[in-house]
Amino acid sequence: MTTALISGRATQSPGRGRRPRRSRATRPSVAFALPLVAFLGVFVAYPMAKLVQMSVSTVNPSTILHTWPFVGLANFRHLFADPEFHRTVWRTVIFAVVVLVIGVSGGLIAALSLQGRRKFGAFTYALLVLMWTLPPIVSGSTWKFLLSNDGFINELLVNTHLVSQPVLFLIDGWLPLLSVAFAAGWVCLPFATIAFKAALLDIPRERLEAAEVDGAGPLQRFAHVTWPHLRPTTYVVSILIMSYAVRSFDFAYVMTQGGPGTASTTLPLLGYSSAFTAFNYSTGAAIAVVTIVVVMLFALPYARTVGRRE
Amino acid sequence: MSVASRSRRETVPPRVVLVVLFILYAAPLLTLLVTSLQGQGTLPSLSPHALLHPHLSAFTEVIHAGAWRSLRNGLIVSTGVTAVVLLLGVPGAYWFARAAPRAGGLILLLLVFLQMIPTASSVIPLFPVMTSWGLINHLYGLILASAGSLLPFAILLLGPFFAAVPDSLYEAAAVDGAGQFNQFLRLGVPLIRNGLTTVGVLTFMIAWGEFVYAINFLSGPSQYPASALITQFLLPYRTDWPGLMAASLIAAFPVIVIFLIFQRRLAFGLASGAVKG
Amino acid sequence: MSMKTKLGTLSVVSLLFLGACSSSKSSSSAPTSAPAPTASSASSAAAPAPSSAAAPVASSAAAPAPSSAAAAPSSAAAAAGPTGSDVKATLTIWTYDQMQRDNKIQQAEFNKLYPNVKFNVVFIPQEQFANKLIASATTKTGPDIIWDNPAYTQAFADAGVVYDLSKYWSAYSDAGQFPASVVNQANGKVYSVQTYSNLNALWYNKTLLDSLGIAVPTTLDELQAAMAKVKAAGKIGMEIAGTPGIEGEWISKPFFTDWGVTGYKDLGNPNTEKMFAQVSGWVNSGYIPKGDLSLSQGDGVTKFEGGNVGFFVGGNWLISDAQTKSKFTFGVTGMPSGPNGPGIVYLGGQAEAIGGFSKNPDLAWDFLQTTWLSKEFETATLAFGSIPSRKDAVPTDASQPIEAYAKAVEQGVPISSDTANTLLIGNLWSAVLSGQTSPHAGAATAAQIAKTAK
Repeated sequence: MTTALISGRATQSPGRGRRPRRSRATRPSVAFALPLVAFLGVFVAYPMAKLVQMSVSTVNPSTILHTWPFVGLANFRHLFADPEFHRTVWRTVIFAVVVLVIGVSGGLIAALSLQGRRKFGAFTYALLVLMWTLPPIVSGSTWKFLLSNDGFINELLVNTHLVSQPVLFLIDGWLPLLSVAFAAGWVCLPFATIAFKAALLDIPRERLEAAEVDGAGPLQRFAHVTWPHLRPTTYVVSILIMSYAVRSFDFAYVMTQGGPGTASTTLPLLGYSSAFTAFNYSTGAAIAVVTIVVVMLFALPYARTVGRRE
Repeated sequence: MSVASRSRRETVPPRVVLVVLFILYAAPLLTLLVTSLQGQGTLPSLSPHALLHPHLSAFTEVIHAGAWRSLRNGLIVSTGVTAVVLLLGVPGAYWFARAAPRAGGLILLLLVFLQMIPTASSVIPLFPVMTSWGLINHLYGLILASAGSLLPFAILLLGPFFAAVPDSLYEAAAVDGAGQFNQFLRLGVPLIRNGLTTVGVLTFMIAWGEFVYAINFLSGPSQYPASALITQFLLPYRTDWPGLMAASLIAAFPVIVIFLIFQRRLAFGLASGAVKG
Repeated sequence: MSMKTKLGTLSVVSLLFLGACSSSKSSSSAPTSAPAPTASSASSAAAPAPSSAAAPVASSAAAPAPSSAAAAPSSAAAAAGPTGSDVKATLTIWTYDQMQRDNKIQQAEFNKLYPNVKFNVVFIPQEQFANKLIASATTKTGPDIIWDNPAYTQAFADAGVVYDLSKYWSAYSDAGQFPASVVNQANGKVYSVQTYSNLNALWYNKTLLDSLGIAVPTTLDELQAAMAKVKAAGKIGMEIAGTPGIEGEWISKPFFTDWGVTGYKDLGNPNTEKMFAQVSGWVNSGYIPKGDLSLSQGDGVTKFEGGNVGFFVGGNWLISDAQTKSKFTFGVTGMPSGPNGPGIVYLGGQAEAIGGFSKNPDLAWDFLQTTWLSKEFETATLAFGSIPSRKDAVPTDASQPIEAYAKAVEQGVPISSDTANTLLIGNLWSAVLSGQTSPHAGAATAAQIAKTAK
């Protein structure tokens, strides 16, 4: 799910009010961190090094468990020469933008609407958070069914005569990619809501009231008080949702298997199927390296923002 | 919508938004329920007949396919991942927060980067690595791999909680003669209880939803945790919607229970993350 | 069947086993997947450990497969050594077929000869099967017997996880009963034999066709005309899977050969575009419902069973179920021929191989030839709706659908082992049918694939 999402949210501020450290306190022994560092080295850093090695080698069923012949950047050259790879990159970009728009704008609108905390609002908020925590494969399966030709959405649309033929959400043109992006955005929206809701609570009431006394309407209050306050949150949330979208794999895997053809295949799925369906492990590794580099581009500004705040 | 509310802040648009949101997030949950209660081999429908005649056959089939066992496997894996993550992550986050403020930027960047690695990508090198270490086909192998992917996230989330504890408290404890270990265990850990709950619950839930590692590192459905078992209902034979939905509901059930138990503390942990300080 | 109870018992038993073999050095690497529910392995605590690796292999080195005069008179292995009951071993079987997991018939038969041979059947989903088997090379503790998709023969042979059957096969007196297309070779050696075939043919709704006065089509043009008539009558012309990946490629094969595109290397043939144009034209004309293209074969058959569909590209394993569910007569005929050749289908099915790390390859081979390869069992596969590979196993008076499939087997071809391109072609098929890619662009992509084809 949204591992990056939550952590980003939480990291952005608890440390905000931290006082400058006094170094007189005894520093804890490095022994506290050693097991962790060793574990991450073994189960994260080493595999990542192996991934890079795979991407510059020939790795197929006959070599995967033996030595991998070094081929330099050949895998990357083939990849960049492949029009399908370019199409996949574009699909990933479009996918990420759609997820971003749904997640951020939806989350902002939701958070603003939830202000005031009436019963129904609190209930809806709890529902949002609950659906966000569901296993992605569960929500993905549900959306697959809802959006399928025989699914409830089409049944409703046809029975209410809004359309004469079922809408082919998972087949026609851009719809499969957009449908998967919708589901991914749907799961990001609650996260953004949590972040915006918390940020809204942070706005000093006096400032809003002062603005009201000065005769500012709701829109003006939003533009002059609320929005400037939300902007940093929006920035962080946007980075996290973009990085989530680029990494997202579950929904396409469940809803369309990347199809029809490759219409809803984005980078992580392309890498995964190259490695585990076509047994072209090294091509899959090269695609994974590219995916990780792209995701890393989001890590940098995010870490900077968070770091600055701490 | 009634006109009952007179509050000035409650304008119409937020109400409409709330209703739309409610439908968007309640519909999938209701769909799960309604579809899983329709007879097997039928195409699920919203027709009154289908809705008024619930069947449990989808559930019996899913249970027959190993639902209980998959819940047990999932419980073992998610609990194991949470335990490893907390055991290694809490002291680690404590150290990073207290002893490494200088290196903070770099470590932070590294952690952010690590936790952004897609599992669909990391599974590619992990497959040969875990294989050569003899860690595949074992639940503990999956636990170790999943813990590795979730630890950076847990430390990022725990760090600020530790950082919010003023140094003066530790100093006072040190003056009172508390050793390093006691400062951590008796002072630091209890002070971040909310953080622990939040991180523990979220780790558990994310581990519960993980399936990419599971299907690649475990030997087969008899070892699969609940999320991975669902992939078996997506296989290209006859799509069994009621079965798929019943399996999904069973897999979602523990998450729903945990959510209900920890809802308040979770909300507090999540909100305090942003509000505190 | 209460599988749950059985599994409960089994997990207790397997715990005992784990305890029992913890002293053996192989225990750490033994595949400890929960044993699949084989009744036989739960019999006694004195039984050997459930994995072949941990089994006390008293028999393995010494015992050549003792042939039994009764059931396997043609056994190639010379009868010598101990009698069947002296052989104590566990044969671990990996299968991707969920039905086979619970099928005990062959095991019971084999136990008549070898009462002390036990079986440990492990079900592994097909999309995970190859990876799991390849991974077994590290611990050198794979299964004794493998039932998997024949497409992976090359990959398995390259990974060294399958046993070279050449010596058994050349000594096997019934080898001649098996068409070459079901004997899977890699690098010049025999690695697996397909005991039955799963393949596609053209199903037709006879009731519907008769009522519209349509003759059973034998060519693409006739099929097209027939679909037009069915469509004009307000029914659905044809259901066909347009799914991406392996399934799409499996469906597309006869349409390629119809146009003379027989292998991946021929994909640059200009006819590729004509084929794409024709099939996507059927979608655009409404003969094939676009909305159903995402349905796999298993879901398409549900639509066909509804009775409103003229044709369906279907596999033999779906027949028996469909016959009971449909309320009309339906027939099966070979895939129609095209302007440049016949519609040749792939021979899928279950390929039997012996694990590269089996401690008991002779015993495993004896199991295969006594059971799956024997005429009796080959004939019995008909009951599952599968088409036996043995020429002498198909009765001469076979019923209509079986006969149609049996005929198609004769000109069927093995599934390609070029897994990378298989995936690309399946995706292409799916993309062209659904209109994601034009026939022209699709042909250009196909030409690119041809360049890298093996």
